[in-house]
Amino acid sequence: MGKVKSAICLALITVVIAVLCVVCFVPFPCDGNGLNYFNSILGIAEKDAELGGYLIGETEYVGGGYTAVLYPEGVISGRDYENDLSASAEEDQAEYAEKYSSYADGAIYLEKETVLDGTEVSESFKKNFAHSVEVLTERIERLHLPSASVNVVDDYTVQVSLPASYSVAGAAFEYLGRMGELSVSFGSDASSAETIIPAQTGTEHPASYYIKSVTARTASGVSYVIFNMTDEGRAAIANATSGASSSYLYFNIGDEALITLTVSEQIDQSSLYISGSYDKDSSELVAAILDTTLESGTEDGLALSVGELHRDYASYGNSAQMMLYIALGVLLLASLVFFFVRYGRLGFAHLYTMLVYLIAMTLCIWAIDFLTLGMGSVLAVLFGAITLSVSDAMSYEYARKEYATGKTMTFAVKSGYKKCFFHIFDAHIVLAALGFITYFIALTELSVFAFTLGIGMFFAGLCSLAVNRFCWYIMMPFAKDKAKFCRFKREEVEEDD
Amino acid sequence: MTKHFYSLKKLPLFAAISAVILIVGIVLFALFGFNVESGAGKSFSVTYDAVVTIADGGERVEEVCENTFDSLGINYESKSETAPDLDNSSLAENGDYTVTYVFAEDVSSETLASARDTVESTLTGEFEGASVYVVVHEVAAGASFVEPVWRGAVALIVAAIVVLVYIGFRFGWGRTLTGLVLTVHDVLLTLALLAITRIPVAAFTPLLFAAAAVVISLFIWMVQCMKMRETFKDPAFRTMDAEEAVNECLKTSNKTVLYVVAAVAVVFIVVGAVAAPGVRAFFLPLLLPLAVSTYSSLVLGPMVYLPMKRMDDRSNAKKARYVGKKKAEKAEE
Repeated sequence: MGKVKSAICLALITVVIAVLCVVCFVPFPCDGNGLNYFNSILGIAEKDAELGGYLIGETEYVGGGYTAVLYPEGVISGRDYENDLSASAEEDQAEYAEKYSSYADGAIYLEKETVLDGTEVSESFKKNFAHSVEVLTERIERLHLPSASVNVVDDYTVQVSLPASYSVAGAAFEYLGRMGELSVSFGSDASSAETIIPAQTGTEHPASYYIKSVTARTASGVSYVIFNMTDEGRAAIANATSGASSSYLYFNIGDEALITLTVSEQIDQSSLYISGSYDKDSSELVAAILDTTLESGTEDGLALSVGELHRDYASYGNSAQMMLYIALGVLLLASLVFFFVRYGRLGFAHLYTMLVYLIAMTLCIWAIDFLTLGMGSVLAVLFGAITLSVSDAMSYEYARKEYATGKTMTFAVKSGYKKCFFHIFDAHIVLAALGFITYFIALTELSVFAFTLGIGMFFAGLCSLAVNRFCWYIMMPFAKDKAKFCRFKREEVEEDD
Repeated sequence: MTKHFYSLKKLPLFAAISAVILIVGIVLFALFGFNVESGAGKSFSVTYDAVVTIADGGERVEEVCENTFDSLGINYESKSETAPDLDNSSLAENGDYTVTYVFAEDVSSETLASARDTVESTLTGEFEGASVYVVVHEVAAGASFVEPVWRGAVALIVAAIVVLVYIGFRFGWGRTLTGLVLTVHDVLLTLALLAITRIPVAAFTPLLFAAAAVVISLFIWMVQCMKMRETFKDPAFRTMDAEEAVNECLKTSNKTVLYVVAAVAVVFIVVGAVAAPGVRAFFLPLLLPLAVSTYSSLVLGPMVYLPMKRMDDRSNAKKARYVGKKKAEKAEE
C-alpha cells in the first residue's frame, strides 16, 4: 500500500477509534451548568449487584439490589408493633399488647392466637413456615438470578435479596410469598367463579392430575406462560368453557388469582399459552410460582407478605468500579510499555488492536441483554486481553525470527503470520468453544463469565489476526527504516577471514 | 548417562504430593465446606427519617453507631451503605434510610442490645422530632441454590471434553489425554486448596475458580502442546527417545509458559492491588488456580505425557518402519 493510501486509512481508523473510545469510556458534561450529561457506554452498561446497579436517569445508579423482609401471617416487625400500639386508642393499647408476644428481643412480635401454642411457637406453625421457606427458595432458585439470596431472620421471617437488574423485582417480592394450592376457576367474576380444577393434594385428584407443568417461553419478542395440561385437565377446561362468550378463567394460588384470562370461546388445547403483557422476566416469575405451587403447594401454606423493603448499594462499595477501571488502565499502560520497549513503534499496532478489542467488548456487554459488568465478565475480558497480548507478541516474535534470517520485512511479516496463524487460531477457538459450550449449560454468574469469555476470545482472535496485521500493514509505509520501526535486527553472521 | 528432570520414575512422587493435597482438601471440605460468606450473623440496623437526613445527611448516625461499638469493644464485619427504604409496591423511596452493620455470630446479644439502647437514646436526644428505630436481627445462613452448582459442573465437564477432542485432532491423542488428566487435576487441586487455605469467598466464587482453573489449565497446556509439536518436527528430535525429546523440548517451551504465566499473574496482582477490597478478595485468590496450572503444566504434565509419547513414537515407528538412531543402536547391541 502506498503512503497516501496508508495515511488516509490510518487517519480514518484513528478517528473512528478515538470517537468510539470517547463514546464508550469517557463521560462528560454537555453544558456549563451540568444539567446535560453525556454518559459513556461503559457508564450505562448494566452492572451486577457486587459492582453496582443499573443507571437511572442520567447519573444516578439504582444500587446493587433490593432486599425485602417477608413476614408470615401472625408475625409483625417490632417497628410495626410499636407504631400500631402508639396509634391505637389508649384504652385499646392493653388489649393490643395482649394479642402479641415479643420475640428475638423485640425484633419481631408473634400473634398469640395464630402462632403460639401456650407460650411456645406451635409445631404446626414451625412446620408450615419451614415449608413456605422451602417453596420460596425453590422459586428464587428457578429464576436463575445472580446474587439473589434467601436468609431466615429471627427464626420466623425471611430476608430476600434480588439484583436491581431484575426488571420485575417489585412484583417478585409481592408474588413470591404467595402460598397455598393451585386451582383453576371459571366464571364471570372472581367471587362467583366455579372451581373446575379442584386442588385436593394427597387425594385422588390433585392439581397435578390436571396440569402437568407450568413453563415460560419467549419467542419473537412475545413471552408466554404455558400450562401443559393432561387429558383430564384439557377436558375439564374444554367442558367448562364450551359456549363461553365473555367469562374468565382464574388461576389461583390459595384464594388469590395470579392470572385472569378472558375467555371468548371454548378452550380445548393440550398446552395453554397465555401471553398477556408478560415480558421474559415476568413470564418466568409467574411460571416459577405456579409450577412450584403445582408441585408442592399445600392447603396450609403460610403466605409471606412484604414488610420492610430497601435498596442495597453495590456490595463492594461505591468506589469499586472506579478502582477497577484504574487497575485496568494500569494494566493497559503496562502492556503498552512492554510492547513499545520491545517492538518500538509497532506498539501502536498493538495499542490500536487492544482498543478495538476493548471497544467491541464494551459494546457487547452493553448491548447483550443478559450480560452485566461484574466480576465474571471482567475476568473474562481480562482473559481475552491477555490472550490478545500473547498472540500479538507471538506474531511479532515469529516475524522477528523470519526477519533475522534475512527475509525482507514484508515477506518476514507474511511468513511469520503464516507460521503462527494456527497457534493463534487454535488458542482462540479452543477458549471460545469452552466459553460458548459452558454458557449453554451453566447458569447465573458462570454463564455470564462463559459467554463473555466466548465473545472475548472471538474478538481477541479477530483483532490479533486481522486488525493487528492490518494496522501493521498501514503503519509500515511511514517508516524509513522498517527494521528500526519494529526494533528487529538481522542475525549477525561471522564471516571467515 | 544424563539425568533428566522429566522422568517416569519421579511421577509417583508428584502424584503423591497432589494426592495428599487433594485428600486433605476433601477432608476439610467434608468437615467445613468452603469458607463461603453465608450472610449469617447478627445485623444491627438503624432506620431514620428525613429529619435526620436534612440535619446532617445521616453521617452523625454512623458516627454515633461506630463510637458506641468502640466503647463496647465490638467490631462489625461489614457495613452496608446507608440505603433508602422503598415503598413495597412502587419501589419509590419513602424518605427513610437504613444503615446496617453486620456482626459475627459470637458477638453477644446483650452487648448488641446495650448498643441499641445507647444509639437510640443518643440519636433521639440529638434529633428532636426524628423517628429513629434501631433493631438487632439474628440472620441465619443463606439458602444454598443447588442447580447452578451442578449445572456449572456439568457445563465445565462437557466443554472441557469437547475442547479436548479438538485438541486431540490438532495435537494428537496423547497430548489430549494428558490435557484431560491435567484439567481434572487442576480443578480438583484448586478447590482442595480453596478448602485448605480457608480463603473467604462469595457463594459463586468456587464455581468461577473451577472455571478459571479449566481455562488457565487448558490454555497453558495448549502453549506446551504448540511448542512441542513445533519442536518435534525438527529432525534432530526424531532420533531421540521420548524422555530425552521431552526434556530437550521443555528447556525452551517452559520459558514461553513462564512468560504467559507471568503475564497472567501480573494482571491478577495489579487488579488485586489497585482495586477495592471486594474485587481484591476475588482476584488475588485467582493466583491459586494459576499456580496449580503452572505446576501441573511445567512439572506433572510432561511426566504424564512421557508414556503416551512413547506409545505415539512406537506406533509412528511401526507406521513409518523407521527406528530412531539411538533405538537402532540399542537394537544392534
